[in-house]
Amino acid sequence: MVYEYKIPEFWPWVTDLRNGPFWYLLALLSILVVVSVVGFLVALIRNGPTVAGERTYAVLAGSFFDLIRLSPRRVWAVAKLVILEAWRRRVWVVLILYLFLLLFASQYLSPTTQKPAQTTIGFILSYSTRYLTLIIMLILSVFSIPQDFKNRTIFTVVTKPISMAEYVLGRIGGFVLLGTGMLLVMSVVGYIFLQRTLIHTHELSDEFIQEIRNNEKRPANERLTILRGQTTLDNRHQHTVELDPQAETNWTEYEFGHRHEITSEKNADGVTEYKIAVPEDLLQARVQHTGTLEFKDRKGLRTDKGVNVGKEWKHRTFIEGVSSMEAYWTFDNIRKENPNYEDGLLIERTIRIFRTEQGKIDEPLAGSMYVRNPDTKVTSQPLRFRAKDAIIDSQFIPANGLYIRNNDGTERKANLFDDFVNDEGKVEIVIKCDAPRQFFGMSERDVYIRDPDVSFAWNYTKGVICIWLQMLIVISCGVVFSTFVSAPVALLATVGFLFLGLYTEFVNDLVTSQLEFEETAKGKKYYGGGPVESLYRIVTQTGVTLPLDKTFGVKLMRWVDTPLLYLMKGVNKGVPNFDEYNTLTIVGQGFDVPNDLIWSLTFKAFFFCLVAFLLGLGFLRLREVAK
Amino acid sequence: MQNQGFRRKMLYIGLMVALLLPLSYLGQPAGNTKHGDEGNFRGLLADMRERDSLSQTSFGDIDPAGATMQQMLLGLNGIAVNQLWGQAQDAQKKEDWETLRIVLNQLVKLQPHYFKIWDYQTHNLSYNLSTEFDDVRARYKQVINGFNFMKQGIELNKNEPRLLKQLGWYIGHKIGRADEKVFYRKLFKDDWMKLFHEQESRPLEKRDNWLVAHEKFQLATDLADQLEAKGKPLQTTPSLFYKELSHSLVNYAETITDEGFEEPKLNDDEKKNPDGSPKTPEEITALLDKKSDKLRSEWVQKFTAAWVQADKAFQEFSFKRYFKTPNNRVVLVGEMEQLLKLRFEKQNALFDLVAGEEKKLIEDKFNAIADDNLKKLYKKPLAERTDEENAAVRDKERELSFSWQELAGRAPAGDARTQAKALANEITLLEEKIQEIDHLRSPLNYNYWRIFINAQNQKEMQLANEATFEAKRLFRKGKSYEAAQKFEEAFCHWRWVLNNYPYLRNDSVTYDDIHEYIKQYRTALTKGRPGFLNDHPDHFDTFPLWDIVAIVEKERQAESVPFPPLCGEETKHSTMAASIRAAYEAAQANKPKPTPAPEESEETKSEKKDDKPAEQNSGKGPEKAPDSEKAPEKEAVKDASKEVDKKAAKSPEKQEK
Repeated sequence: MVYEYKIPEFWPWVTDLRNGPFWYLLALLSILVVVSVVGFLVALIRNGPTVAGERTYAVLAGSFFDLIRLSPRRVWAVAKLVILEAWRRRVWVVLILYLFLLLFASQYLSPTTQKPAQTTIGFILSYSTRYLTLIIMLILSVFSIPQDFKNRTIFTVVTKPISMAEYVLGRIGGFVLLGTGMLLVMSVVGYIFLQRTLIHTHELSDEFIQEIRNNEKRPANERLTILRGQTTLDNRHQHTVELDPQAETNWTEYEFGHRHEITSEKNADGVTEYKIAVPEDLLQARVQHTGTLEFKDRKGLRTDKGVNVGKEWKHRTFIEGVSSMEAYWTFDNIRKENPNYEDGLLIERTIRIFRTEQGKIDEPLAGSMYVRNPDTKVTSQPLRFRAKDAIIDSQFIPANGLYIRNNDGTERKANLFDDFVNDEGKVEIVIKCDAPRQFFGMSERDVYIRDPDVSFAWNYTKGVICIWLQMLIVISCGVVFSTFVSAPVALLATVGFLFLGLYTEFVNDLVTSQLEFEETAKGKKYYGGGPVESLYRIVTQTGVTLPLDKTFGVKLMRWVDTPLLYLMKGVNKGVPNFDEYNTLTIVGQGFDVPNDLIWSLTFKAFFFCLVAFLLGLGFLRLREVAK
Repeated sequence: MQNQGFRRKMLYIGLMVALLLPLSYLGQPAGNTKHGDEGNFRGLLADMRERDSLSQTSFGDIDPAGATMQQMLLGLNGIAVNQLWGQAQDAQKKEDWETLRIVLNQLVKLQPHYFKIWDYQTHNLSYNLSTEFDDVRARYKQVINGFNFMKQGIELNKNEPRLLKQLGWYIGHKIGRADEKVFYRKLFKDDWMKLFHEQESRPLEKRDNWLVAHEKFQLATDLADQLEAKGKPLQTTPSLFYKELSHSLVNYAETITDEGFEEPKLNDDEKKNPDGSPKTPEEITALLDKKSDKLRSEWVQKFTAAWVQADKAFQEFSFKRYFKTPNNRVVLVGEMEQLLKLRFEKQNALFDLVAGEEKKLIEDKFNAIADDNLKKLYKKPLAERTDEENAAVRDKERELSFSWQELAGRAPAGDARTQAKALANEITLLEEKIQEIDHLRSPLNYNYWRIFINAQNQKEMQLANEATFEAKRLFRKGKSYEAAQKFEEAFCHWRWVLNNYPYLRNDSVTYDDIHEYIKQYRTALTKGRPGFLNDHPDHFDTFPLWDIVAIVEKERQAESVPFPPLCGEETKHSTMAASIRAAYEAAQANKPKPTPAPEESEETKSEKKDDKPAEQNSGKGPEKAPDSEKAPEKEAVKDASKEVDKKAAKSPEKQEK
């Protein structure tokens, strides 16, 4: 699974004033100040200082009293009205459209996909549920308040004992409730569809069964201990099986992102029958206990990164085979008392392979894993493995099956917790490549201790929660824009705002490149200057990398560009990063969406909603001030 | 005020209706135009769309999802496509193959009729993406994904022969030429996971990648011919496009010749006698040999037939496929030899008519040169000229050359001159045509393929291939001496081929291939006996392929190395391994210790042998070098063999590898 960034733990993050919350509060206060000042200035120009001052005070005071006098009953009344309005506008048609999409899903789902779970979840949640919900909520939210103004129903509403705050909150709340209901229906139907589409089974192929029967007929000493064959072709794929006829349980090989368990049972005639179970690892939610990755270089010295083998993406770095290079992860909180680790550690790893020479094409490369004490550096015997490229492979480290090689060459039995885990509960897992002139590549999250899975349904729900949070942002955004501009403009503004939300990282890199004139932290460098310089280059057809002469005009352009770039940076900071909310890929890949991530996303979305609510309230009040 | 607004609205509606009516009239379904009926434009737009192949249906199957997406973007397709390309590249960079696949599917929905996208991304999937995986089956899956991606493109672009041709090319070359070709060809034949053939219901015997490639090339060729008949020219170089049809069969024949046959296996029942008792090892060996013979005979039959088929296809390409030259002349790529012959005849006829005037013409031109120094330079032998002098002579050469018309003007006045002028015109035309064919042939490497295919259809070549494979097979089984003997048999056949097709002997691909066999032969001879060849320095005196060794190991210019004679009945070429074995065994018997000599002694021994005078080695066989030039070449070969042998002495295991 690929996370390019580290997910911070929620409580330390939220309680650390240097990080998130402090800046969010600062942003909130700044916005309130800016809105008040703008309102005051507009009123000043229109009505003079005294009236402007009075009205600004009235708005601020009025808003404040509105807030403290918020009545959930009145908010609910507005929200109910919103739901009824939307229902009258036949919003339920979206649900029918969704059902149609599922009916014709085969048109969109490729049968040859290598990761059916990821593709199907992507289709159900990302392409259908997410987009449908967001688009319909966007349209409803931006058209609602302007419609009230147009129909003059707003005047009826404000004549009632309903404050502006209750009106805005009721609007947002109503849409959120409506969206939640729709999302609920869509995700439940989608979940059923997912189960029905992906769950399948196979049988052993006739040829393989024949081979097994032939083997059974041979004299005991001539019988093969491992038989290799295929399953039948179902759901457009089949699995290779390496079957041990003596074993009660066998597994198929991984194909299309999953495998099946094969159980054997003797029937009444004494003939062994093999049954293949439903897919394993297809719809699941692995829980990762992650560690911190460090490397040793060719001289055996500690380093942060391995070798770059020439890949453009620097997320994974590599270690060379049969050298002093190694990659080691330090895991903490490994306690004997934890029932999950009592018997040992289940390590899962994804390793990328880079060959400098072909070697044996059809044979995987050899590697070894060691357990090491971070303090004493006592290391276990090598636990050998064959590296399966880009596939999650697991290996169990038994608590009592380890050995330590003494200096005199003798070995002694060791215990995972007594010999390798230090007092702080930390342990190191080391990986080395055993194939000369070949390389193993890895990143921090590629090797982890697998904790017991959480339920897939719950993980699916987490994915839906992230869509819900996105919906919250869209609704807040739509409502706030519709409080001060007409519906089509609000629609465009919201779409533009959200579009920017998909590219916050890019915009940040772009602005940082121009302001700092050096490579950003991610190593990306964008050329071409700020908005004015870019415009100049477009008009004069000057390439972005071509340096401009340092004339007065160019200096002026850059001087104007600097505050504009800071403005861009500021706006960009205020835009929620939509990429962060896309946890559906993680669900599709079969990993548990970390709770810390969900909490931090919830915090950010609600904060954004709060800011939007206050802004909406301010803008509606400003209308009074400015008129 | 309200009335004015209403009037304006009505005016707009009226104008819209006025514009829509003629548009509707013009846009009626196709076939409503009455040709020749002046002033009738009903269905004109549809007819024009059909005629110029602008309608969706004229491209291929309609993709409703793609068409909807294009319409929904309201002209922002360009931006969307740009965005998707960016996403695709990012996904590829971040090794997110599933996203890449999804994005590509969206991309082609927006640009379904753009040839380059299909071609580029098929190549990207089959060649770049497949190598990202370590497991050979995962790689194969990606290769096939690329092919299946291209198949979608073909469905949507039924009038694009280039896509069919490219698909054929990728199927042929990616499966048949990659480093993993042994695995790929097997997986492809077995249709592993039913990824490819199943959808096309292809019978088992046609599942060879080269045959499938040929099938695609045939479809591409037929389609291109149909389109050309409709006046739609091929949007690529025709000669390179059409040659693939025959080349796929050549590649097929070459591959199956090279692959040989699989080692036979016995099932449980075959290992038992009818009474259920197990067969003896001798019986099993005899049964396996019998099966091998059958398989060998089938294989020989198969590759012989394949070469006949390849030759037939090549002849069709050479003599039935017409090409238009830049001068709008229609030529056959294979007619050059015939034209050269004709030109030669006409040239002789012209010389007869002018009766020696060509020499006089040159003399006159020479005498016309004003610069006396230059005249002296012309008379100076080539070897004695400096570079500057050569350059000065070359500059003036054009002035000395004459046209056929000029020469014809020197013929005696009257009928003879008229006839000569006609001949001169004919020769000029022939020469132009020859030159144009030459230009056509050059990028195809036509001459090589013509000779190579012809040679492959000779009995001796078939025997050479058969014996070479058998030798390699014996070597694989660890039967070194038998392998060496078989190699010697093969080399005599190769000698015949190379002497009868000198062009092949001088071609690097051929001599490098043969040199590989020679290296294996050496290994077979010296396996476990380092320094062995040094004891027999005269071995290469009669080695039938010493010229290949000289060319490859001594880097001699192929053209300057003479051709050794054919293996004769009197020579001992085919018994070399046996005689060396006998000598070796005798030497082993006389030695006090059976262990191999230490490294130093081998080196010393080889040095001693090196000191032997060259005369000692002469007169070893009835067939000697054809001329005196051969001696130094042979020395070169001996030196090379010693070098190789020394290496073998130092690390026998490495040499075996």
